[in-house]
Amino acid sequence: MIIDPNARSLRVELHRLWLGCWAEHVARQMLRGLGLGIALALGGALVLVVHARLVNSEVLFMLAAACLLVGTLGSLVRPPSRLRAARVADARWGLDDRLGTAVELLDRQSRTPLEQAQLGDAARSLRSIPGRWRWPRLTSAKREGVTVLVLTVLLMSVLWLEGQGESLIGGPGWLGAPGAALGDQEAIAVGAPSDQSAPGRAPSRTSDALRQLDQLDRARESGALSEAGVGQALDRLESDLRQRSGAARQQGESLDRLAQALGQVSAGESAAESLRQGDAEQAADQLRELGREADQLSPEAKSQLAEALRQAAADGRTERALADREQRAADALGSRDYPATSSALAALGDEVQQSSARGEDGQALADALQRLDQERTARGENGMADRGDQANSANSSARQTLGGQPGTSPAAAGGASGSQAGTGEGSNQPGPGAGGMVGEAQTEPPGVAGGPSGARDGGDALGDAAPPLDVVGQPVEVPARPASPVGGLPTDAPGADDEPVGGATVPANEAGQPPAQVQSGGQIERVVVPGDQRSVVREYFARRGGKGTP
Amino acid sequence: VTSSTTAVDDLQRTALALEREIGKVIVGQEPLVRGVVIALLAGGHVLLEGLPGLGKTILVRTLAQAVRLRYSRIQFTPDLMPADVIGTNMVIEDPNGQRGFTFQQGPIFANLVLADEINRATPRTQSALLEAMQERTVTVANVAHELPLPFFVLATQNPIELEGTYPLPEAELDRFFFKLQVGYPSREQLSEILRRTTGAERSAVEPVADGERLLWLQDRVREVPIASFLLDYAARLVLATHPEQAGAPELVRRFVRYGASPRAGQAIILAAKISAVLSGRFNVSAADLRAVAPAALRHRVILNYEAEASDYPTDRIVAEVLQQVPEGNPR
Repeated sequence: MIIDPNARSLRVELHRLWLGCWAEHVARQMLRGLGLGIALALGGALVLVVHARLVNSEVLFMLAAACLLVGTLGSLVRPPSRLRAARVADARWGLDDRLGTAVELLDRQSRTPLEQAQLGDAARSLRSIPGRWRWPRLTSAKREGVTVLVLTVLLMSVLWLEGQGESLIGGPGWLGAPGAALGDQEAIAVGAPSDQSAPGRAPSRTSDALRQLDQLDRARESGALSEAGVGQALDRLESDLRQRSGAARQQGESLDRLAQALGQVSAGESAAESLRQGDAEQAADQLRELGREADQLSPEAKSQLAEALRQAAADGRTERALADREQRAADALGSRDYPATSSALAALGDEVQQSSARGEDGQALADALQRLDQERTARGENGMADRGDQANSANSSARQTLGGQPGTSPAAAGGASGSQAGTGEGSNQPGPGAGGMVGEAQTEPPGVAGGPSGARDGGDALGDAAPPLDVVGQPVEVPARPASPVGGLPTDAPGADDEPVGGATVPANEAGQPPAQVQSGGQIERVVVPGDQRSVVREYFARRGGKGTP
Repeated sequence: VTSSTTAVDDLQRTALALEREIGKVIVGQEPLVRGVVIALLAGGHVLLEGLPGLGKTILVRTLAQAVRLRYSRIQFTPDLMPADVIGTNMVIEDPNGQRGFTFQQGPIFANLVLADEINRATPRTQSALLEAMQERTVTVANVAHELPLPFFVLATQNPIELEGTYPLPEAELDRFFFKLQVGYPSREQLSEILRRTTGAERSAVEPVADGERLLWLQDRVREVPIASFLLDYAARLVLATHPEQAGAPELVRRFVRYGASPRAGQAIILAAKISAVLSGRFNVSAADLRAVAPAALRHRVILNYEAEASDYPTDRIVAEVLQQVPEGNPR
C-alpha cells in the first residue's frame, strides 16, 4: 500500500466535494419536486377556474407539498456517487477530468509513478481553485429555481384571477369561504339556486340574473338608480327569464314525451324512468344499451316503439334536434336493420344527454322569477299575483326537467308538486347557501317533504316553497280550487287534492300551458292568508292529510 | 514519480521541439503538424490528403530531418510492383563463385517512409504495405524480415486526381493511425511561404530526437492514465459510427456502410494520451478524445453509395457522432 500525501489530501477534498454535491443534489431535487408540484397545482388551478367543484385549494397545496417531499426523500435516499461529485467538480471548474480520473486511481491498491503524478496534479489543481470552499454553488439549480419561480408566479396569477372571477359571479372563492365575497344575503340568494341546479348544468346565467337583482336592489336602496330605471331593468330581466323558462319548459316536455314513448315497451322502461327522474346521463346510457340489444327486441316491440317515437317526433313542440333523432330511431327500428337501429338509438341517447346539458335549470329560473317578484313587492308594485303565476309556470317546468311528474299526468304532477324542494336532484346537495330559506328545504330528505303518494304536509309547500311567504305579515295568495275545472285537473284524480296552497307548486298541464291560473268560469279565485295565520292553514291541510279543498 | 514527471516533461519538450523545427519550414498548418507529431509519438502511420503543392512531401522530409531517422521515399506509380517496395531475393554470386539467393531490401527498410501519391499504385502494390505497417515485418519467400524501429509510413494522396488512381482498400486505410487533411494556407501564411521559398535564406532544421528516444517516449505515453468512464466514452464514439447500432445518429444510419474498427478506438485513446501530455496533464480528458477523434475516424468510416454519390463529407458524419454521443454521467 502506497502512502501518498497527495492521495490522502485528495481523499479529504473529494469527500468534502461529495458532501457538497449531495447537498446540491438534495436542493435540486427539492426544487424539481416543488416545480413539478407547482406545475400540477397550476393545472389544478386552471381546472378550478373552469369548474370550482372538481378541485379545491387544499388538494392543490397538498399536491405541491407531496411532490416536494418525494423529491427531498428521493435525493436523500439516493446520494450521488463520489465519481459523479468529482466529475461535476471537473466540469464546473474546468479541471479536464483530473478529479474523475483521480477518484478511480485512489481506489487502486498499487499505482504507477505516472498515476501518482496524476494524483498530485489533481490535488494541485484542486488547491489552486479560488473559492472552492463555496460549494455548493447553486448554478446548476438555477434553471430549476427560475422554473419554480415562474411557475409560482403563474400559479398565483391564476389563483388571483380565479378569486377575482369568483368575486364577480359571487360563487365559492379560492381563498375564502363560499360566498365570502358577498354579504350573507347575497350568499343565500345566489348560492341557493346554484346548488339546486341539476348536475351538469351551468347555473351561471340564472346566477347572473340573481346578481343583477341584487345589484338593482342595492342601487335602489342607495338611490343610485331611479325607480323608473329599476322598473325598466326589472321588466327586461323578467322578459329574459320568461323566455328562458319557456325554453326550459319546452325541453322538459320534449324529454317527457320521449319518456312516454319509451315507456310503451318493457325494454325502454328503464330509460323512461331515468328520464322521468331527470337523470339524462343514465337515460342516454340505457338508450345506447337498448340500441345494442335491439336485435333481441321482438318485431312487435320494435314496431310499437317505432310508432311511439314517431308520434313523439311528430309533436310540433318537441325540440327539433331531438325530434330528428326520434324520427331516425323510429325509421331504423322499422327497417329492422340492426346496425342502423343501434346507431340511431345511440344517437338518440347522445341527443338526450346533450339536450339535458344544454337546458337551463328550471328550478333556478323559478327562483329567479320569485326573486324578481320579491323585488317588485319591495318596490310596492301590485303585480304579485301575475308574477307569482309566471314563477309557478317556471317552477312547473323545473319539476319536469328535474324529475317531477310531467304535466301529462295531472295526478302524478300533483303528487310531486308539493315536494319541489325535496325531490329535485339538486336538493340532495348541501351547498353554501345552507341556512337560507331554500337551503332549509334542501336539507330535508325527499321522503319527508313529499312522497310518491303525494301525501305531504301542506306546511312545507306553504312555508318553504316561495320566499315571499316567509315574510311575516306579507299577504299570501292561495288559489282556490275551481268548482268545475275546464281543461284543468280532474277532481277525482288521485293526487288532485294534493295541490298545495300558494300556487307556487301547481304543475303544468298537458298542453304545456302555465296552469297556475286555474280557471273557474273564467274567474280566478284567490284567498289571501295573512302571514300570521299560515299555521292555521297548515294545520287544516295536515288534518285532512292533503285531501279535499278548503 | 519524479522520473515519470520527467518523462512527461521530456515528452512534452520533445514534441514541442519537433513542432518548432517543422515550423521552420512549414508555414502554418499547426493542426496538421500536431497530428503528425502525435502519430509519431504514438508509433502510428499517417495518411496525408491534400491538393498538390501544399507541402505534404516537404513536411515529411522536414520531419525526417528533425528526428534524425533513416528516411526513404517511394514514388507510387501504376507500374510499381510489390518487390519494388519491399525488396526481393536476387541471385548473387559470391567471391567464391557460389551463387545463392540473397534478399535485397526495398526502400521500405527505413525508419521513416514517405509513400508519395500512394493511390497511384495498384491495389496489389498498395497491399504490400499491409504487413509492414501492422507487423513491422516483410515476408519474402517465406522469410520474414524485420523492419527497423521506429517505423513510420507517411503516405500522401491527392483527392481529386482520380484518373489513373486506385482507391486504397479498407484494410490498408485501417492501418493508418491518422488521416490528416492538408488545407490551403491563409493569405498571411501564403505570403510567408512565398517569402521563405523565394529568398536566399535557407532554414536549417536541427534534429531534436533520434529513434531510441522516440521508442522510449512511445512506451511512456502508454502509461498515461485514463479513467474507465473515458474509455467507455471512446468505445461509444466508435460504436456510434456503426449504422446498425441502436444509438447511432441519423446521419450514420443514412450514409454509413461500415463503421470504424477497434483500431479506431486504440488510435483515439493513444492519441488522446499524447494530447493530454502535450497539454501538461497526466490524465486524459474527454476534450482530448474529442480533439483527436476526427483524424482517427474519418478514414475508417466507410460511406455507402448514397453518400458517395452526393459527395457527403465524412467529417460531417464524424462531427455528428461527436455531437450526439454524450460523455455520460455516473450516478
